[in-house]
Amino acid sequence: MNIVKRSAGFALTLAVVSVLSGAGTARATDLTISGSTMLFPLEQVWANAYMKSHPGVHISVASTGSGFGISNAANGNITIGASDAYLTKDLRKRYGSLAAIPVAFDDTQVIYNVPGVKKSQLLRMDGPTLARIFMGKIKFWDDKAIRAINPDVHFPHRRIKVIHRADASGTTFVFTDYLSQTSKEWYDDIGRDLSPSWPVGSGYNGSDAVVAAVMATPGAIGYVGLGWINEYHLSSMALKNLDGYYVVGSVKTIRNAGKAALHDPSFPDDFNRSIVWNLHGKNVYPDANFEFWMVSTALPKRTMLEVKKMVIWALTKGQQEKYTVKTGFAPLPFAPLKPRLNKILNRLLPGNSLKIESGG
Amino acid sequence: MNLKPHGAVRFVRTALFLERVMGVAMEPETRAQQEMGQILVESDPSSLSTASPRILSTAPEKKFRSSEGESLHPDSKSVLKNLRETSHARIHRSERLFQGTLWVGGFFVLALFATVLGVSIVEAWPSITKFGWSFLWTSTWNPHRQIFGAWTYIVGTFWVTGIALLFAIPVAILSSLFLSDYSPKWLVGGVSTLMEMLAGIPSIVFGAFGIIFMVPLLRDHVEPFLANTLGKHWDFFGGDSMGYGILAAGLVVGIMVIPLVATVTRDSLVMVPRETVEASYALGSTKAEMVFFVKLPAVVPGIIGSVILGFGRAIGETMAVLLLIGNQASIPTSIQDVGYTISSLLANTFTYAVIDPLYSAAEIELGLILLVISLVVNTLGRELLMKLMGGRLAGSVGGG
Repeated sequence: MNIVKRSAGFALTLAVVSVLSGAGTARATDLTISGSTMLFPLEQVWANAYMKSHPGVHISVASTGSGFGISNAANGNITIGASDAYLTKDLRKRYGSLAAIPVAFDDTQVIYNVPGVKKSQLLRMDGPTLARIFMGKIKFWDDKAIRAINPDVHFPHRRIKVIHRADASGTTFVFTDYLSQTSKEWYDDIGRDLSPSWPVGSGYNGSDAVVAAVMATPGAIGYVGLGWINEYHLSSMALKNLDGYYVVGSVKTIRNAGKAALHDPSFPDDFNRSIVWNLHGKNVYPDANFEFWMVSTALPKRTMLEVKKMVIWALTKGQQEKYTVKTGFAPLPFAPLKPRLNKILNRLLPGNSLKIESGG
Repeated sequence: MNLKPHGAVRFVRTALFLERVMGVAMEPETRAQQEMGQILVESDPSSLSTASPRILSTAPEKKFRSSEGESLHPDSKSVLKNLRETSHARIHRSERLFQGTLWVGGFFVLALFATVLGVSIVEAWPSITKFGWSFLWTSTWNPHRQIFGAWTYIVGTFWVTGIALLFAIPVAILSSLFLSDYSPKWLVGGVSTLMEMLAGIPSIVFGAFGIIFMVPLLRDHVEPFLANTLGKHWDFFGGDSMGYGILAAGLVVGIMVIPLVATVTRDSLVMVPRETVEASYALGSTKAEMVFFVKLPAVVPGIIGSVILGFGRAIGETMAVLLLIGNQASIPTSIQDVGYTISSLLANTFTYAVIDPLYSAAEIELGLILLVISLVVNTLGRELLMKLMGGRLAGSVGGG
């Protein structure tokens, strides 16, 4: 991603921001969360539950896109910016004041519609082959590269119809991250982006449209997050991980990926590294992702204390399955998260004693 | 006789007269004088009452005779003189106020337009200076590599617009011919009303209709049929049937353009002079001959103008296209292909592009291209209509 210095300067953006920030003066405690469309459903149920248990706190949530969340959290227009993507080197340079706090897990899974292949039949896929499909270099389902990974599946001679997201999307970022890490061709030509320039296929607006298009189009292949797989009972492909295992995405295998990252001493304390691909383990899904809240260190102390309270709530009580799994996310394991979280919170509120309740 | 009309009535009357008789704006100082003269010339104020019911209720009971003809009522001269002196100052002030308000309104629109254009150019500047004219014919659009070119999107836009017009024009002309000459009377009102309602339906509704109806229809029936017949000889009709693509988007936009073209065409058909029609019958032509050789040629200018306006509508259509076109940045080679238009690209990615100056500049430059095209097309269409139809249709042709 090439992201250069600039805060959004358009009338529309300004209008939204002024509405969001204008609301801030009215109540005792007012938090605005805005950004990732992917995280939005979870934030909504969180906000409702949190406001119920914390009278006097008002949280407004908006779904504006990760880019908006990052840039506006940095310049203080919103309290918390939600983002599907961690802070890359470019972003860290530009928005030095931002701290990324992981708040949930999700992933990207590959869905398909191949006539003649039963839903119960497990399809396997590896990164390089998947990248070649999405680059239009593998055109038919019975291509020998696909058959080689799936020797026991009989594929029809049918054209592969690539289906991708048209809007800028965190799901796309996580998906292209997997392709970039596993395929040099993909990394060189297209790269990892929320909205890359797709060489082939057709694009749809939103994950629901992708699901609909894949289900309606014989021969289609597409990708969506965990929540959609559960909601529509879709079968997704088992993706090859670093250790050579083929793993299907599920709440369990995604959590495994998170745990593997958190237990990895080389994983950065600020969480600013992808958990796609570079993880060891048998049941570790290779295309999982942290969802982040971006908080600026420049927030006033009073607001920061409220943010801290909210973050700790979200990472403990908020991880219950009735919030996370219901809305399509996997809960974060709290214990391995704690040491790194402490460091982040210390950065946000220096010298503040941090009493974190256990939970999760 | 008490003749002191209310200020507002006087004003409405003045305005009416100026508009009807002079057609120009006048200096406030001369206006009162002008009005006196005009009122006296008017021999039948009831003709005014058709324009304004308000005037009907307060119109003077006594009708003035023309100053050229008989002499005035002895009272009226002094009354008028009195009137002129007492209310001149008041008229003057309210006129000024009203004029001032109008100026503000007028300049606001101007300022708005200038702001939109100015901000767009300023924001697009990084892209304009970096890529220059080559932006127009470069087909690479790669934010990852910071290379931007509009060609793919311009082509996609014209594909959708072209298909839409090819579909809409015949349907619109046939339906308006039917309505003006062949339809039973009871049907005309209903169909015309429906046609106008069709024009008012939000485009997202058409987009949804496209997804649930047009896409399955094309995917399961029309496109396989095309591929198996025409597609065997010409790749242009071949391809693998997706349903989504430029054909679906073009047809749905066409549906949205039909009312625009049909309404103007029907209006011009109705205006063909009865004498012309009767002359054609007198020369022995059948009804079909009259319609095709007399009426249709007479309304060609109207059709051309409305088609240009339809073009302006189709080129900027966003939501319906976005839902149906398949949003793939590739240049279509077959009508079954997917594509991408300028407007749907902006709708899909602009909120994300703002994070990167060059990316957003390139997208705004795309917006500028769209703005210039539709500005030129709309102005052209409107001018043509005005010129050819003598301005009679000016009110019925909205902008795209």
